[in-house]
Amino acid sequence: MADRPTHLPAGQVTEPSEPTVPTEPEPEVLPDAPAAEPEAGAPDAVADTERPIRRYRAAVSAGAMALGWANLEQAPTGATVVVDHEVSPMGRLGQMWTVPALSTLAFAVVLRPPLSADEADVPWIVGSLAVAEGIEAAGGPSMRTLWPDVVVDAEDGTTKASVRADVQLGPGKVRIAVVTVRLDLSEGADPARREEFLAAITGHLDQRMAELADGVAGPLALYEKRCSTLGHNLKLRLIPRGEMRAHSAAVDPLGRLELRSATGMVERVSVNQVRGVEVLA
Amino acid sequence: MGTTPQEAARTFIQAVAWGEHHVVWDMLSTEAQRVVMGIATSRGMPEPLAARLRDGTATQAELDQFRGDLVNGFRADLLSVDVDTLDYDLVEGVFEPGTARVVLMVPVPDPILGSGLPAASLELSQEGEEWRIDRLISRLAK
Repeated sequence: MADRPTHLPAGQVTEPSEPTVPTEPEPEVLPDAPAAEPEAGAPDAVADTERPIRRYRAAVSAGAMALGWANLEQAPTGATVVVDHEVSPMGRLGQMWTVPALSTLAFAVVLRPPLSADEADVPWIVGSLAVAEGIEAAGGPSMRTLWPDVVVDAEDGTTKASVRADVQLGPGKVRIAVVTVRLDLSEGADPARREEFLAAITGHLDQRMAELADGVAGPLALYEKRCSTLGHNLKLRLIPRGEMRAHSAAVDPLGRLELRSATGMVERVSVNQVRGVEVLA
Repeated sequence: MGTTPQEAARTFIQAVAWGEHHVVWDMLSTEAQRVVMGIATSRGMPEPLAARLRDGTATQAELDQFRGDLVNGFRADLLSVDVDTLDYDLVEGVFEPGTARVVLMVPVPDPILGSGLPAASLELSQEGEEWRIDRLISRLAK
């Protein structure tokens, strides 16, 4: 079993350099772990000491590994996959994360949020919010969000993290959401602080997800306060409608961007409809 | 809204891009508005709703929905066109007085291809002092 990954028991957190994982390609890299306890009940906050974590030196992507864990082994809410080197670090619409792996904290968290199928965009919102809050809580700079998937330094607007939510639906509801986070640690943050950022972000993600049991309004209000996309004229490239411009007014309770025109036309675009967003001067 | 065909075409395209649905509707010629209503009913719009839209008794929500769908239809016709870079070329001498065609040209840096490629054209007609849109003919969208 020397070439098989080791599943860390609940609560055990190791240094990234510790040889707990193999470098075999898929499917051999799937951890030889006992099946996790089936998820029961609402996604309550999971303390970091109880969080099941799997670590890989290399994998296709953290999100792919987390989805596999969730689907094949019933990974519980909060289960986290950390990958040192992602072969294919694709974000929304397949956009590649270009920060070198050595300067990146890449991880994915399995969630089973209490959301309807219509609310499938909400994990993007809650994920981005948690990343921004977690970075700040770990001593990082002030953060803002760009709807739907980017977290930027509030000071200079540089991208500090990207978020991707892979949502799988069940009958009328969100069955699984895997939120993948890639955090740029190349500037202003010591890579050795990965564990602090990881704990802070996942902690906030747990907290915000737990709040969804009471509705989307709370996390959404916090997200809107941080969202730099709002209040500007935007140029959007939409799938399949082409290009449009409008004033961004809000994020609606389904996680969609709400746009208004000068004549009062209101349009709401979901994450999957948007190919690109550009803020106009 | 447009004292020249090119000016009217530019205003119309910008209104489509910015989702100014009432401007888009108001810039359509009387004939074009009639044709749009005809197409809508042929595609399943209930006749009572069409009648309310025609005689001005539709609710604001009905009006917004109908004109919003119209704008999105025009956007689909302009798929992949960057409206900021368009040139508006007037085609002269081939139409009757009071009518005009404006070709929307996408600038191309390659001199072999000429000054640009036609992305779409607008047929216009004059109503009073204003130029209004009769048709948008797409060259790029399906």
